[in-house]
Amino acid sequence: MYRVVAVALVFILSCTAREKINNTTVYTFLDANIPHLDPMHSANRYSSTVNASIFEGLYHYQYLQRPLKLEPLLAEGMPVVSKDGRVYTIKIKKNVFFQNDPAFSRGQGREVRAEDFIFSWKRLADPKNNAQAWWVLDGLIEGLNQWREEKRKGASNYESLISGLKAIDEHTLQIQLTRSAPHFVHLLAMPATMVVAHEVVNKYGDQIVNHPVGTGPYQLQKWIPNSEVQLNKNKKYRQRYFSPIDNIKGQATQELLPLNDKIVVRIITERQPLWLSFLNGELDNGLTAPEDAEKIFSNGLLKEEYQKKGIQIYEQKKMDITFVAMNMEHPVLGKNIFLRKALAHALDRKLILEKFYAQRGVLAQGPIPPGLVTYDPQYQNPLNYDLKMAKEFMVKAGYPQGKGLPVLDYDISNSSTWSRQYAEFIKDQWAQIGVSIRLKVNTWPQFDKKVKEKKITFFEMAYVADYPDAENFLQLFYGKNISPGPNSFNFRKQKYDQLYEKALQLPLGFERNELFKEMVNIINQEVPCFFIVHRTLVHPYHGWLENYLEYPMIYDYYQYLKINSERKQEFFKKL
Amino acid sequence: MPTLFGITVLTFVLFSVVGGDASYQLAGQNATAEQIESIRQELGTDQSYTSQYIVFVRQIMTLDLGHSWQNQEKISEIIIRSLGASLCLTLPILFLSQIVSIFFALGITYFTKTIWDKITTTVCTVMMSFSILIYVIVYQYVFAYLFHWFPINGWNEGLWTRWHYLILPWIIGTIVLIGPNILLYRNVFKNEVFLDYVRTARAKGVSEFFIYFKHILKNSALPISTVIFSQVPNLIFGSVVLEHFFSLPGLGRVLVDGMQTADLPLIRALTVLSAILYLATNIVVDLCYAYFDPRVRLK
Repeated sequence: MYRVVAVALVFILSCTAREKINNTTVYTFLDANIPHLDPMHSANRYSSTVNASIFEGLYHYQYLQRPLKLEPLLAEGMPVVSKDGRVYTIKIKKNVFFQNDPAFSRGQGREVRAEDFIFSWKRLADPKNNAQAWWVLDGLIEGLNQWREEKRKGASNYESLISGLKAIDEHTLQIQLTRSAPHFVHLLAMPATMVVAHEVVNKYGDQIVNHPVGTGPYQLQKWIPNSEVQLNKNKKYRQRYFSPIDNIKGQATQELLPLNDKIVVRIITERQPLWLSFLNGELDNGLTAPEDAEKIFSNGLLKEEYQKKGIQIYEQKKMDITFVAMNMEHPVLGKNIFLRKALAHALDRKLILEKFYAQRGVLAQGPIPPGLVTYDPQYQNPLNYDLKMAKEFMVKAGYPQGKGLPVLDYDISNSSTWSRQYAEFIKDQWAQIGVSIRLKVNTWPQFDKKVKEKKITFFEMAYVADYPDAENFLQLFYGKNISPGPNSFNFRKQKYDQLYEKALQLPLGFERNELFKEMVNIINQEVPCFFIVHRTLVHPYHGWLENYLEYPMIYDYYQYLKINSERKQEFFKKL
Repeated sequence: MPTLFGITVLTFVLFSVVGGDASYQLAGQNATAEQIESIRQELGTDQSYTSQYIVFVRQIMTLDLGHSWQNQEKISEIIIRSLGASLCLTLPILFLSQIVSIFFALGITYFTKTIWDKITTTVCTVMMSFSILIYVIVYQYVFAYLFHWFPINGWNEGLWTRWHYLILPWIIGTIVLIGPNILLYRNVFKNEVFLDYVRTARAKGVSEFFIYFKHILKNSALPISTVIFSQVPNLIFGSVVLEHFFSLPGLGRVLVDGMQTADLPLIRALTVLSAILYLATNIVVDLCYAYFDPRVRLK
């Protein structure tokens, strides 16, 4: 009997969490599952982060530069743009090779050519692929939409030429746009436009989404859906040095990228195991939701117990906007600007920031978040919290103290406690001026369907920047983008649309920015939604993780992460 | 067959008619109406509900489960891969929980009306009153985080290297099941204790151990087997909390992900599969009845 107990104890104790410390492996996480690994379906930060480690595009953002600054990745230099802003000529680096894969002749990845980009973008446009990221190039490249239509009818194929996409030689790509689009070069840094090889696509067919082969610093080693992704250093990766611009210490270095040999990405969707795995050292970095901030901070500082563990904090200002939105096609709300203004004045957004975001964020005055050149920190939305004004507007709206106003629906996209409490809070706020709200909890697909089919009244939403240009946020209010497009408010204003179209024709600069300001004013006057906050994420990380500075739109940051083995061993000795 | 038909109708109505529209999900946030229409054509959701239902039934009849709309992976492959993880998680839980429950239930039947009976009954009632979520949160914190006895969570593809990620979920799953099982089995055993065959065995001088572990246990096999088999589908498809907290790539998690992304072929396949499993376990229970009680066969 004693032997059995002894064996059982040894068995249990051998299960200890302390695995062999690996100094060249970074253990990180994603808090949602990744459905596929294919640049053309990169529609969220989860798949984009892994994709950007395996694939590469023409440009990417410098790791440390703020505001974000583009630099060539597979391109030799920045594009040469014609005077009318419509023709981009880009030289592509020589001696850049795809990762080895059985799809290639003798399993050896071949050199990247200009034609590969044309092929990759045709894939993005191919209606058969239903690429989630097609919107990135939709309507922008001369002849690409026409090719798409013809492809749908079977009248064109991948051999067909596209007038706006030319490979002048093996390493020179020329792109002709349908109009001037100053933000176009940013699109070339998005995962959607990263390069894939036709051999790989042809070999794996429908299963390509599970066989990512790019030119990036990592190769997919293992992928257990819902559990783990392992990326190994691409041994064939070209010599790219860790630039001093990208070194947090600002030192010149001759280190080759990537700075680690392996990335283990654990898929952990629940907050507790994520936090405990981090505290236990099983993860090098962690995440706390804004509402959890008080668990780790005391008087604004990291709690002592965490400081003792060597935990550090990086607060990431998200380039995003959260809002309580309205369907402007709603028969009551859409036609009554006084009612919308009353509702806006009745929302205490400061209290929301305090109660639901633990003060981690910036009160939003309009749709443009901090971090963008056009963000104006001095600008104040005139619709601040003022119950007296709100009540006055209710009278003007024809609903004094809410009399005669029907009960309005407020849809929630998930059943989390946070979302319910948030909605209850809004309900209580509006009850002060006599507006009654009925809360409806949905699953995400149900919610999405209601929004796209305009069968919704009030709803809570957030939008995260796809590229660092105010246009990305202002297109959310463009009349031609109404549902099922990104304009979920179904906001339509002729003047706004004219300004938006005019701004699209202008180069980056003062005149364009002034138009954007005018557009923000129109939005704030018309009140299609109530802007709440630009969020700040709290990223805790262990002191041994060097160069950690996750930032919106910089998806390829895994390659810069480095483990300080001495610090890591010290931590595990104390554990 | 009528049950299966009912299930197909219900599944279809719930997910295809009332549920979300996958084309919106697949098209992404910036999609155009044209893109969404194109996706509907591709998926066949632009067809009438009748046509869609016929396709659905045909798929079931031909066992062609199709591809996931999310990542184009064959659904049969997803199921096979996830079933492995689900079985690794649930079979030991089922086995352990039954052994422990039967052992304790027989024990407290023997000690009926003593303090041990009362203590066990109270403990079981308390155990039942906590949700699995509480067990997971507390055990993960105490045994994995504070004592470092187990990893917080994770999974390994190797059959012999994954077990250390599974011990804590096994313990929790077992503890959750034994509370109600012990109380149920205790009642079953108590009904047997005063029957004539037990009295006769005692009169013949058979030891108490044999009376309990042979005669009473065997005669209680019918209700016990019903409980065991009815728990199989629940465990395989319903271990969502364990799978989420311990990052185990099982079927429960696949099902929840499918629902969150309106991946209809996947949801339908898993729902029908779980219904078939329920029906199959019911048949097995019926066969067990006939095996354990010859009177059922005669009838």
